[in-house]
Amino acid sequence: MRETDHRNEDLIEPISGMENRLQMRLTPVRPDPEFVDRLRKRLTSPPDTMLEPPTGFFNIFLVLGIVSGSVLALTLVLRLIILILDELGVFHPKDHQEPLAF
Amino acid sequence: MLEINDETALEEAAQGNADAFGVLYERYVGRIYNYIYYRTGNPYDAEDLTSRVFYRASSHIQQYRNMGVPFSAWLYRIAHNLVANWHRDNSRHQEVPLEDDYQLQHRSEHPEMKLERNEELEMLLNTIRKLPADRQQLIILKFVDHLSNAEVGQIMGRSEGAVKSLYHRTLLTLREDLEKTDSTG
Repeated sequence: MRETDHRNEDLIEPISGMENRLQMRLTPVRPDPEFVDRLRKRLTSPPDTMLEPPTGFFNIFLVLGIVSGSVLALTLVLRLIILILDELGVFHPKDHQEPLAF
Repeated sequence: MLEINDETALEEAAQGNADAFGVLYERYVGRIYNYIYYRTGNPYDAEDLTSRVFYRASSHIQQYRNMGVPFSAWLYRIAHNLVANWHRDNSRHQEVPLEDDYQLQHRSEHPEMKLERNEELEMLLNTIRKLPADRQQLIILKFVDHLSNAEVGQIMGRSEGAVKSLYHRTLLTLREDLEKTDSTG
């Protein structure tokens, strides 16, 4: 027997041993039948229940959207207030005139 | 309805036929659940992630049709990605060993999941879960779902030869890791 054959046997032996061990131990499990039925009903019922539940990523986007929207709304309100106050002459009174210099 | 093949069911499901999607669901829910169950180690997360896999599949079924991989492979890829996210999100939490999990979360509805509590199984699963994600995936697809190298290749996006090579390396690594565990334990 050639040396390479010995090497191959050395490789195959531990692999077949591991295969047997895994085949014996890793047995398929069956999901809870109630869970399977419940999910099937939700999946095959009207489209409004077909939406994927929000994920963590979705929640981050949602929070970012709310924060950005709030900041934008606040900025617009502040600008509106400043504009109104400016129109009312709070910052530059229209009736205020510099005395004439003689 | 159950007799229709995947291709026909997919065409009908893509056109909004919920019953056709139901057929596909019935056909694959067990396999996807098994995969996720062995990757996460507990039935609650397995149920939650299995639900997400099928929700995602149902909402993206029209996009699937041009991907050129079997429907089952597509489902496994979704499951793999969701499990990866789950591990990332739970990386700070210590995983519950499967054996303890059975004691804590035993439910009468899961008779087949009452695997005999056995030290070797626990050690084996703990060692498998320390392997890189792609190797864990390979072991579960081969030994739990009994897929061929070609089918595993379609799911993992590798050639059959690459799967075979990874398979040999994985089993050798696993054997070495188990020997180390045996000698220290």
